[in-house]
Amino acid sequence: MLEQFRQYHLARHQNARVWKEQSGSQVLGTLCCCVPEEIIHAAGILPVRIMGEHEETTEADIHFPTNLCPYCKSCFDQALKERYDYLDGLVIPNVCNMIKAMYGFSKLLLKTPYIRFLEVPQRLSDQGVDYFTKELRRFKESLEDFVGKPILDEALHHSIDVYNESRTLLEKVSELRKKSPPVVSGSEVQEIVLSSMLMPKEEHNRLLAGLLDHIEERDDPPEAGVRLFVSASILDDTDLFALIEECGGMVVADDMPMGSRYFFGQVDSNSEPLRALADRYLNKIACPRKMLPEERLNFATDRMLDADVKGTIIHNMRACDSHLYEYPLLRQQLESQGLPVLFFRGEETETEKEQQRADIEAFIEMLED
Amino acid sequence: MVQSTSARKSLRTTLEVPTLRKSYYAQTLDDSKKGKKVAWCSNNIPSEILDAMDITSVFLENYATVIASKRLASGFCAAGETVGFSQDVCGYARMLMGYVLARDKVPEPPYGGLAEPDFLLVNSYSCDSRLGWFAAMSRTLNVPLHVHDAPYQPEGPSHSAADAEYIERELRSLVAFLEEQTGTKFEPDKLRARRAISRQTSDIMYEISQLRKAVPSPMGSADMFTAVWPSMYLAGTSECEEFYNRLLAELKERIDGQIGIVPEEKFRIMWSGIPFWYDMRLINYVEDFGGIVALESFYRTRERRLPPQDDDPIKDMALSSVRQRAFPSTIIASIDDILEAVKEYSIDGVILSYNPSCRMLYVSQTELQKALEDQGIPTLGLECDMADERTYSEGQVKTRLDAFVERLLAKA
Ligand code: SF4
Ligand code: SF4
Repeated sequence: MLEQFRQYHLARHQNARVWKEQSGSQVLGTLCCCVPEEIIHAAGILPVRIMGEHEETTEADIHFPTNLCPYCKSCFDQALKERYDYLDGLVIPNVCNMIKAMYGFSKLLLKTPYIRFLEVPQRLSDQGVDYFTKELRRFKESLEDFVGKPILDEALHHSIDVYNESRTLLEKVSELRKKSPPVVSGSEVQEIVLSSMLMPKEEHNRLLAGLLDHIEERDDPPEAGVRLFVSASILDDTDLFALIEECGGMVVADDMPMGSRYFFGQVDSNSEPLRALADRYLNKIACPRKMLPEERLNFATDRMLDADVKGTIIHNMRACDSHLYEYPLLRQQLESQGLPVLFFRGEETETEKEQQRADIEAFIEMLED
Repeated sequence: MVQSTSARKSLRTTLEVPTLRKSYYAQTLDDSKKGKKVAWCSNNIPSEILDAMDITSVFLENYATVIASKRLASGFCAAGETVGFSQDVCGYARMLMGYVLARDKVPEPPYGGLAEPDFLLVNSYSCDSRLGWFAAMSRTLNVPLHVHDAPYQPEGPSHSAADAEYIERELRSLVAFLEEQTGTKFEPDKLRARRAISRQTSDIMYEISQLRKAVPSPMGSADMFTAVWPSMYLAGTSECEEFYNRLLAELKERIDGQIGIVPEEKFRIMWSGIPFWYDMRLINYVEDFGGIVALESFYRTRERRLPPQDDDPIKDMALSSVRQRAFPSTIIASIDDILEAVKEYSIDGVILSYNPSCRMLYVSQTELQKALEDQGIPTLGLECDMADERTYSEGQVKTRLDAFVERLLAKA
């Protein structure tokens, strides 16, 4: 059953095309965790998270200088190579400099018909929630124009329920990583999380609920490894987690945008839907672009509660400013708790893997001593 | 002996700036001694509000350029690196983190150092660095931080009531924070008076921008990179307004007398991006060949009219801010903007600085360069940090400039 998640992720472009054909509806790409997918879902559109590839960038290099976030560059490279040509639209939120820049570059260089910038306040405040609620209303209206029909409140409530269920299930499976002996591995959980950003949510919920019913009785449990916590600016595949397992480690807790930060915190289903969405997407996502270090570091350490980790890995994409400034603070906090830190500067190249392997092996050896 | 790194200026008014700047920093130290509250600010924090509340503002990005122009940046940057801020981090931030966290490791700071802060103020919307940098300082110095937010407005000036209302509420939060920190009540009248001066100053700045279109150029970037200082750090004061009045008069004088910067102007260059503060003489380099860097991408006032003054000065600031965005926000707007400037200012070629640690500007440079070349406008891309001169090679840069000048002369 776990294999289904992996296969879906691997064939994600093909799967989106098939979905489009069968449903006769649209597919929208999103960047970052702060786009409330519920509104897109309520419009009958499939939201998919944009991911890059560990592949040499060629097209993007014509348009961008070198020292930029390799994840963003890779995503754009993929788009320029027409791997995302099935997308009917893109929603680009106000996050970091790179993602913001992607808005203009997408409008300039891509043929995607609907490209929408989403204003997201970059500070937590009451006026921020009010403003974001209004922005979400504008966004909803623009989607209504795009699909040519209204998004009803019932549909929005239903989507919120579906997404809340998804977040509950993802939280459950990620908590299972903490068991000893393990019943699910770090890379398996990561595969489940990544596929949840691509697959229609109902289907993902059904598969995941089925998996959770039987997982504790599985006959192929993963091998135990040295228990690790990973904090990352972004990881859009399971390579690092798999590498850690190959080296004798196991990720049992994380703080990552395509990980815990994606499914943490629920939308209040009893409130006015747009306000409830604004509240969750603004206040519950632990992103250093909005949250000050205090709250961010608390989130990171809370994720480790009961996880009994022995060491930590911080992985920041090269030139990711938000995480670059946080890094010395996070490192200090972790070390003060007696947790050794291994740091990686992410490049998204094929060759970085071998260096990482050597470093992880040495780190795990050190932890085992 | 330290060589002079500053650009050769041609206007007498510009020569007033170093004195203004020096006395500004001396004043901040003096204020602090007298017990006035000191705020360390990022650019774009509205100093008029602080001024109206009798708070002393110290702008760290400006201080960073002062350090860099005295060629002290490498020592400050290295200190920042020892406390964990990598070479990927904005040169300005790295220097100041060095100053804050490893003061024993930095060289003698210019102007006797900075007045210590009572609190920090940062705007969240310009770049990721500022927020990360100020948040890290607040945590390590244990000094309160207030973040001032605004919408990004990628499509430029906005007429949305929601955008204006959000900025207005953000400004009111800033005022509330300052009231709490200082224990003094905000008085709208004081701000209103400063707003009136700011509006007049912005009209004068607009006129100056227009006059700089003249051929021969009455004022190049060698002057403007310095002359812009009062508008950024003395906004809303009569000192500032008078300075630009004198500058305007001098420009008019030069235009009437057909006085250019070089004896016979052969070609005009525009500088896109942040200059290399440790070698500002580079801006003058082309003058020996009859060239002039006539315009820079930042300091052109594009629009004359602010919306009519609102009686509530906070609302007035909010409305002006949404209707006017200093920077074009998207690459599409940036391309339109640079092509328009090239035309209006009779520019023959563009130098683009690639400052890899300032991602917010760096990200667009390749595409801008491409767009210019596509239109047949010669360009030169120079890559180096704006502050940290450790990777700068003067010889290499000059060789490339020579080739660029040749290309422009061949076209002229
Ligand atoms: S990794 Fe950093 S720079 Fe890259 S998209 Fe995420 S926040 Fe932006
Ligand atoms: S990154 Fe650029 S805009 Fe931001 S503080 Fe540094 S120099 Fe200024």
